[in-house]
Amino acid sequence: MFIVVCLEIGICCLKFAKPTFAQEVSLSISPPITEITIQPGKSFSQTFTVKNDGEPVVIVPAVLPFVPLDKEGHVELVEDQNSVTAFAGWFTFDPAPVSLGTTGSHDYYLKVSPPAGAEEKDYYFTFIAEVQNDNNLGFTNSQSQVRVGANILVNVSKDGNPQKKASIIKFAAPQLIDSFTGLTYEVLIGNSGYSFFKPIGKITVDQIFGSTSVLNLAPLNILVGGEREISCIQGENLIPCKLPGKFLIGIYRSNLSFTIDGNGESVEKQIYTIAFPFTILFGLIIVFIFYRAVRKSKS
Amino acid sequence: MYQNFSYIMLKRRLTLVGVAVFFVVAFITLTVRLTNIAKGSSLTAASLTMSNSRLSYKAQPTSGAINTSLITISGTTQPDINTGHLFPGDVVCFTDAGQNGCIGNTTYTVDSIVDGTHFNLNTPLTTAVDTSGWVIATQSGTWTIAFTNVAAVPIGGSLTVSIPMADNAKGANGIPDSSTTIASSGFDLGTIGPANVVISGCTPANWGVATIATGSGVVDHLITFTRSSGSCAASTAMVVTIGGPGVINPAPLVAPNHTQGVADVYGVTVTTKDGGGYTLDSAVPRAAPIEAVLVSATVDEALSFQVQGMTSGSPYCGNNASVSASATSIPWGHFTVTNGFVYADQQLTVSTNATSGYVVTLSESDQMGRNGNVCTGSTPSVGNYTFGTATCIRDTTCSPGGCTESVMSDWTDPVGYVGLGYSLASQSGTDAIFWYNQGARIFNAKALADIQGGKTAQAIMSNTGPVNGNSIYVCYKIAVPGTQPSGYYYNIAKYTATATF
Repeated sequence: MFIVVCLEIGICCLKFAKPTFAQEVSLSISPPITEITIQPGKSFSQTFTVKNDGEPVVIVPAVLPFVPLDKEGHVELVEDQNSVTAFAGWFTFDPAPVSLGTTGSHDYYLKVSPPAGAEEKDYYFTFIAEVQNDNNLGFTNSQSQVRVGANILVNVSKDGNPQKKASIIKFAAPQLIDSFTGLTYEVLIGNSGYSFFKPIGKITVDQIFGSTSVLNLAPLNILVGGEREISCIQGENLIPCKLPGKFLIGIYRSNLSFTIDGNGESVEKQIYTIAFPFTILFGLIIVFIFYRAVRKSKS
Repeated sequence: MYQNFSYIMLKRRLTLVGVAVFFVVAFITLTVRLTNIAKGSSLTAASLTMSNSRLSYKAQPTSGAINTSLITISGTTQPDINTGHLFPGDVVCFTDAGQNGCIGNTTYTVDSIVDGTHFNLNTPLTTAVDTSGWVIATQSGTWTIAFTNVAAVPIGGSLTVSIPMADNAKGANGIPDSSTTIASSGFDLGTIGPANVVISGCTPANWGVATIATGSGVVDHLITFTRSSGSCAASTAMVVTIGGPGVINPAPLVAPNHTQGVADVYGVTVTTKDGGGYTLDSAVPRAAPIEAVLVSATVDEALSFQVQGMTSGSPYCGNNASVSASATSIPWGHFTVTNGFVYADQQLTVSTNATSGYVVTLSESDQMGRNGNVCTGSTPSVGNYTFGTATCIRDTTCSPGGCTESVMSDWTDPVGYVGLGYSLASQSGTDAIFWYNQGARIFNAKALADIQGGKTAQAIMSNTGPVNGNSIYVCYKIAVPGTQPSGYYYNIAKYTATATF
């Protein structure tokens, strides 16, 4: 009887056992992105709050330049010492390691001060909070080091009105589609100006002699000299720019139009797509051939 | 003589009958009359619902210069003596001492509350404030008064709603009423007209159009419907709606007679009468305006990143972990297995409300150098572990097709293809950049991006929108050749989580 009870308890324990975690590091940083337009020689202060929800850790701060990693808004940190030291004079913050207990947090006060002679253009940085690990554990291992970063987009401008210029690198959709495949757009916008911007606009899809649909572009940052794939936004969610509807037929005129940060002249491009029910036609042909074959065999 | 006597007796009898008839008629008449008066009972189920029960705001400005936007109010002996009941977005206007409308017919919007006696407008004043006047933020709304009559209302009868007003003649000037007591304060009708008052129940068409008698200060506002045809039967539910621009709520009772957060309760009288002006039913539903409460919360944008080590035996990426990992280390320990695979797993979890999402990248400081020696370059100079003069556990190349830090390949041979690599599996969401069994393979792997070797950190997890607890497993895998020189090898793998710009 005792053994049965023990087995039952053991089975229950196994049944409700959750994955076990040896330890965790959990850091958060706020705000994750800061956008500044600032005159050379002036200062701007930002507070970054780093919070620890895991085991007690020691964190050290750093500011690193970054460049766009891809066309999706991801960053590639530039960690070579020359690049880091080139901007050392721009930032003032307490670099001392800080111990954070579980649920502890620390506010870093970062002062951004582009020198008076700084060139008028964009500069991109990431404020990093890095967990300090013990070195040399004494056995073969791969240490994991955790960092969380908040991006800082700095536009240095004397008059606060930098020239912003956008170009449509790609606005594409298939020219001929089946009625059931939907109509998906690729939008790639480039920045050939002197400051980052957000495109504010939409794709207007007119079916010739039919209805009009509107897809709103997501207002995503496009950095200077770069290009970015722009998705659409519906409510709070970023979604692919795809024409809703289960059955498309006829000629569709799609017009991409946006302004830079919601101001100035509209940048536009138009494309056309023909939707035809090829699958239905194909099915009818198959049925017709089958019918002919059956009739022929009977005769 | 006898005839005379009979005549007298007859006359007396007729007189007696007449008197009796008179008394009977009088009795009946009085009974009916008195019965009707006795029916002047309470209307049942009487209630008053205000669509906006917020008190109006009325304070005395003490400063506010032209072309400035900072307003200071008096902190004593006014209906409102602080900014506790004024909120950003409220529309205010300034009056003179006589409350003769908004000065310059101009309204402003409150931009922010500075402190208990100061607030900012979102546009500068076009005229300096009158410091003997008022700053007001009018609150008004629709009233819905419901009740059921006990007595029938005959043709020619009426229904009257009596709304209390302040004891002055400006009961419909659009400026909130105010006073020191409930009895001497009340509601302002503003521009409410007959078309804004509607009655339902008891065949609405049989009530005439509402007549509105604006109060004089001594007499309250009266809204009256007269029964024009067909009596209104007893026990009929009726609703009077006062809409349009709405009834203007009073300001709080003048300090110190009002406590913020406690309603000032006013009685509104509803009365039905017959054609002779006798009261049939009446009730006094209450209107209880009170301060609104500003409910506010600030949600900061944040990026949260969590790394957890998984214990040995954890079954991820198609294999059981051979060693227990911590959040900060993959302790491969002393290799007892050569020419075979060793596995270790970590779990990464990200939450962010940043609208454009996040990315987590992975890189390594260097390949695993013996005693920390530098493994110069990205591939061995000779064989599988010789990097010039240094000895290292190399990054894997996975297969004949080869894998790199950016190209995955199926890694199943621990003898021909040794080294360190990793794969991924999504745990919650689909944020893993690639996954171990993608394309029906067994263990798609990549090498870690070797920073010393000039490689660039690679994205392993990303999303283009806000996420809540999206999670992946990072499954490390190592194979050491049987000839690997003994020693203590290590490197640092670095996870970097950043928001998408």
